[in-house]
Formats: sequence, structure tokens, C-alpha cells
Amino acid sequence: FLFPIKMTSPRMIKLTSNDDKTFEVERDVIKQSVTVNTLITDLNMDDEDVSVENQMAIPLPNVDAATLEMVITWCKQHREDPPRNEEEEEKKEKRTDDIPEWDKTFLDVEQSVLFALILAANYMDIKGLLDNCCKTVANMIKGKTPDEIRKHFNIKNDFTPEEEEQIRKENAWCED
Amino acid sequence: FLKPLITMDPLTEDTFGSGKPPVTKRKNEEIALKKLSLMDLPNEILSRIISFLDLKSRLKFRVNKRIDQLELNVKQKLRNMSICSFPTGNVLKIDGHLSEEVSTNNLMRILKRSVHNYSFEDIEIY
Repeated sequence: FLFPIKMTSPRMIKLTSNDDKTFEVERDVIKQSVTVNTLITDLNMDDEDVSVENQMAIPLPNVDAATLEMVITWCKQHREDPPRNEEEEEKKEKRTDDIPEWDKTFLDVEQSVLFALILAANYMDIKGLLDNCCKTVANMIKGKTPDEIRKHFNIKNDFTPEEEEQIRKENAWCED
Repeated sequence: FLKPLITMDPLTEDTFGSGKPPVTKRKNEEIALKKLSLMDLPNEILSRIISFLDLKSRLKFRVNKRIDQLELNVKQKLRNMSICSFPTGNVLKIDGHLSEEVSTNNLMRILKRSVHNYSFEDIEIY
């Protein structure tokens, strides 16, 4: 017997970056963004039987196209990740050696790109991406002296000589 | 079928199927024009980064006044602290990291700062 098979394509969502580029992304992929997910729910977009061509695009005024494309790529890679329990995450020991290999390679970009991604992950409320970006920055800091950190991140030292001396004394016990 | 709006451009190295993330050279260059720096990140993000640092690293990360103040407000749980007092000075051991001799003044300074944001499961004073 032949049964009719109903082919259903995945539900797509349109996102527009602050430089007016529109991306179509599967609903199931972008659910990792709490900000976008809440908007979709609040605007009843899941209930609408509207084709993607006629669908309203969700504007993301704080994210440029290049960064949004990276965010979507990350979300696609992590679409099968189990949902995060934030309370449990807060209780966990803070580690930076548990970044997945794919993410390590993906986040091996120049600093300004990484920081743009952090701001986008924060705005779009994608905790997994935000944490892996912050861990990547933490790994850049680890093992460096204060002067090396300043040089690496181009940070201006605004301490007075007295304040710097006090910090040096406080840190003396942990010098290698 | 819907035409995908995201298309691979010539500057994006196609690594589809290789299990590796795509290399987005042009994108990196575009974003880099804005040249965001670490200090452009909001306090909540800097605090989150500090929360991923071990004790030594977070103390060394106090590279300017803003980070120094933020570090004071990021709570951290540590296992143990031992203070061993000698006539010539004090030796401090936090989570296995042993200090050289610390003067009583410096020890007081360290303890004063520690009470803001560190909690210890166990404290021993000899």
C-alpha cells in the first residue's frame, strides 16, 4: 500500500542585522537565542501560517551581518545540545578547559571579532556561546603577567605609582 | 524550495562536511574595522570573564582601576587557606599555592581584600 507522505519543510525565521542584511534560519536552530525565542513567542509567530516570504523579519539592531552569520553558524553546530539549566551551570566549578574542539577552532579569530561575538551572544542571550567566548578570553589571560595582559589587550595602566605598588605587594604571594 | 539567503562567498573557505568550522576571513576583516577592544565590553561581561579565572590569574588581571573594582565584586569559592606565622614573617597557602614570606602588613591587606569576594571552606591559622 502506498500512503501519502506529507513533506514538511522546517519552519524558517528571518533575522535582520543592523546593516540591513536578512538571514533565514531554521526555527529549531535559533531557539538557542533566548531573546529571539521570546520575541517569536510573544509575537505569536509560531502560530502564524505565513510563508517565509511574507514573514516579518526580526530586527537585531545591535548585531552586524558578519557577526550574525557567525552566531547562526555556531547555533547550527550546537542545535542538538541539551537545554542548559542555568541554576546547575552556576553551581558547577568554573572551568576553561572544557571548550569543545570545534568551538576552539571557530573562536580562533582576532580579538575584535571575538569581542563582537561576545556582545552579540550577550544581546541575543545565547549562554553557551557567551560562556565559550568568555572562557576563550580567560584562557588568553591565564599565565600572563599584568604587563603582558596590558600589552596583549592594549589596556592602559591608569593606576598611580602608589596604587600599582600596593597591588604589586598584594600579588607578591602569588608570583611564580 | 526556498532559496537560501546565506550563500557561501569566495572568501569563505568551504569546510562543509569536514567537521571543521568555516573560515570566515572576510567577516573577520569587516568586524575588525570597528576594532573592538576588551575594555569596550560591559562590566557584566568582564565580571563573567573574571569568574572563569583561577585565583592567581584574577589577581594578576587587575591591570587597571576598572578591572580592579570589578574583581572585588566577583565572588569565588576556594577550598582552604592556611596562615603560618613565624617571628620573621608569615607564610600563606591558598588552595595549594604557597607564598614566600609575607609581612604582617601585607597579610592584613590580602585578608582585607579577600573578605569582599572569597569564601573558604576551611581556614587554618598556626
